Amino acid sequence: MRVIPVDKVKPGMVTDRAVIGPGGEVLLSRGVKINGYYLKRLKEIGIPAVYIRDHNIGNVEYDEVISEQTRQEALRVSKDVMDSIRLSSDFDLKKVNKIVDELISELLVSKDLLVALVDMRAANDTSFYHGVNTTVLSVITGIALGYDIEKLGQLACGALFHDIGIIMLPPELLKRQAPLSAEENEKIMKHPELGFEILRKKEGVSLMSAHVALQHHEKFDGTGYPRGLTGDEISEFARLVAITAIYDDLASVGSETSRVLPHQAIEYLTIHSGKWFDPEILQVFFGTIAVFPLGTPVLLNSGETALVTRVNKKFPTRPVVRVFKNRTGAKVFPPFEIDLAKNPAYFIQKILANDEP
Amino acid sequence: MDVVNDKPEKLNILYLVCSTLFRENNEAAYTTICKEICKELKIHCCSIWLKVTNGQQRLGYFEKDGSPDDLTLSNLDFEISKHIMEQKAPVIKDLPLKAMGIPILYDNSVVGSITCYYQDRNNDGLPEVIKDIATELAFGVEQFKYNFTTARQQNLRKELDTARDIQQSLLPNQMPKIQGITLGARTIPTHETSGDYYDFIITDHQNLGIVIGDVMGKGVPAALFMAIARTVTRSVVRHDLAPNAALSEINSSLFPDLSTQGMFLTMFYALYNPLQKALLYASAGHNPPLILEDSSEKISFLKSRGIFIGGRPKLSYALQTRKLGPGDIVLFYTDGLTEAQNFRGEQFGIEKVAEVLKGYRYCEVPAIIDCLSMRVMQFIGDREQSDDITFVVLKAE
Ligand SMILES: [Fe+2]
Repeated sequence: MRVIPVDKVKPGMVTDRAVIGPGGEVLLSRGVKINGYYLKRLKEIGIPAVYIRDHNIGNVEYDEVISEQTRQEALRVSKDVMDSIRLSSDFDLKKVNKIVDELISELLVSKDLLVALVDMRAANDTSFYHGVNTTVLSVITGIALGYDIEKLGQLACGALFHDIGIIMLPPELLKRQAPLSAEENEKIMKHPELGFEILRKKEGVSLMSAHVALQHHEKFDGTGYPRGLTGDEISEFARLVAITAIYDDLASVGSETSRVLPHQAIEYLTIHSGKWFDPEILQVFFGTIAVFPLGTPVLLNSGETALVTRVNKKFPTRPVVRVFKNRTGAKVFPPFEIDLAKNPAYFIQKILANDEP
Repeated sequence: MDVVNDKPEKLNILYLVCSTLFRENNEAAYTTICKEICKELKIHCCSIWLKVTNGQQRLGYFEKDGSPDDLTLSNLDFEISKHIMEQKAPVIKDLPLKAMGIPILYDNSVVGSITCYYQDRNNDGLPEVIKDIATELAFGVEQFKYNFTTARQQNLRKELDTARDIQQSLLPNQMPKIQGITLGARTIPTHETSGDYYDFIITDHQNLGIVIGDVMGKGVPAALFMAIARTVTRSVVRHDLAPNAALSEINSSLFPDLSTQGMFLTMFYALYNPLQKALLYASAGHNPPLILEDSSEKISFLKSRGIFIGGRPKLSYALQTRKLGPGDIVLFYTDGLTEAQNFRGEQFGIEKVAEVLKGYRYCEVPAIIDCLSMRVMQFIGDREQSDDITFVVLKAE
């Protein structure tokens, strides 16, 4: 399994993970042979990269933290909620609660897993996908913080709809590419309050969830908006979602070259720790993501090229890697694996570009 | 009668090894050899590995019906070969398959390993055949390492490898466990091995001595001198001497040898007291370690004045103290880290080191070390470095 940028994908390659479109629909499921037509579609839609099966390297077993089915359902529900709010300023909370419960129960089962895959998506994607990813990351962090089911439910609902206020903004504003004028920016900065109003008025939605929408752009040192709250004045859920939402944006959106790698995101978030983010929650969050996601090609200090095939929760920078090229660049066939946690003489020297199948 | 005891067959294999390596000495040749061994001996799988400093490289591998979708044997073979080369001893194992492997020796030192995996054949005679093949392979495997160099370079390379092996054997291979702190270290060797070294010593009173030093010199002499410095340092610091007194004594002991050789070394010595959570330290002309305070995110240096060891027969040093708070990180390093150069000749620099340390301060020590290594290596790119990069990370809980 390797991440291949779409412009390097060739007909005949086989997907190793479902490819999801901007509306949350499955464009290609796992195990599909890509043909010229599919490839054209992927490019049109703006999918940056896909997970591809590599027969020289062999199969990589992986467990998703949530099932593909549940992810689909969550995306569908988010879309329905947004459509329904646009039409009638109301939505079906029962459906939301059902999918939130499902997400939480699956994540509780997989609590020993790391988030080891990257959910790549097109840059012009609307916010369903962002909402669902942020929810997954938030709930995992909530579990690590020891939250009970009730708290997890409130957190999940808040995370899923933290950006819901955006749908109240004029659509042409959202399609615009930066830079925005000061006036336009001001409008966008209204989305926390708009979202809060929607959630607050909805019977059955916890005020704790609504506050996630209101406060997710507040910063720990008081430089955020809308109110410039500091530290504990910001609800804990909102402090948490402030971290997971930014992480998802950094790691998931954009092209292969512009997307930020997890270790770079860790550095970025840490530099802003105490300023934008709650340091304690940040440290717990770091414990839940893989520094080197599965399928990352790396150069080892031995000069060999390898692929990350299993992540290690205890030693996040020491995964199991599969050597497939030797130091002279010749193919190693069949490949063999090195568990970096057990072989301290080896380390990852460099992350390689995902450009060769 | 068993095929192995059949003389012509055995000669066949040996001739094949010999003639294949005569034609070409590369991975393709070793893979061919593995394949032929499997065919002739009617075994399931065969591998040949080369030992390199601090690691191993697979030269040849053949597995009957092998596929990347089932790497069980291929993964196991990595572990078995590692074991053979590290222990310098044969391995005979009854796994689902039987495994029989031995080190390949050249001039009495391990240069590689060969292992055979087989199912239900009677192994009579197999040890002798493998031994003969290993003997036949030894020269080729030794040569492989220096394949792309001229004869003159070969001697230099061999000398450098010797120096590197000495150096690696002197570094602690396990981190001591001390209450209240975690420790980690890394040396990234470059093509010219220098005399970088670090050491951890548990003293008589259960304090922890942390030494980092840099012998000004290269190759085998520097590596040998490092060995002497290590022995002297270990015996001096064992008795909980204050770091300034320890450095004075180390200087007095080493000065005679150093001055005749025209060598000297810089050294930083810190004594960590787990009860007081404090570092006592002194420096003999070594780069001041960096300390990142968790509470304030402030970077400062453990500065202390002192002349390098070997400068004068009698030297005295200043003693400093520093308390460590929870989450504080101390980075000890040699100048190879800060002076690492990229292709434009720019240096990595202390500012960047500090920035990386800040960016990964929430990570555990092994991850901090891996991330710092990765950032330096990314900065360096393909540029050859003239100095080893060595650093030690201490994080307080
Ligand atoms: Fe937002």
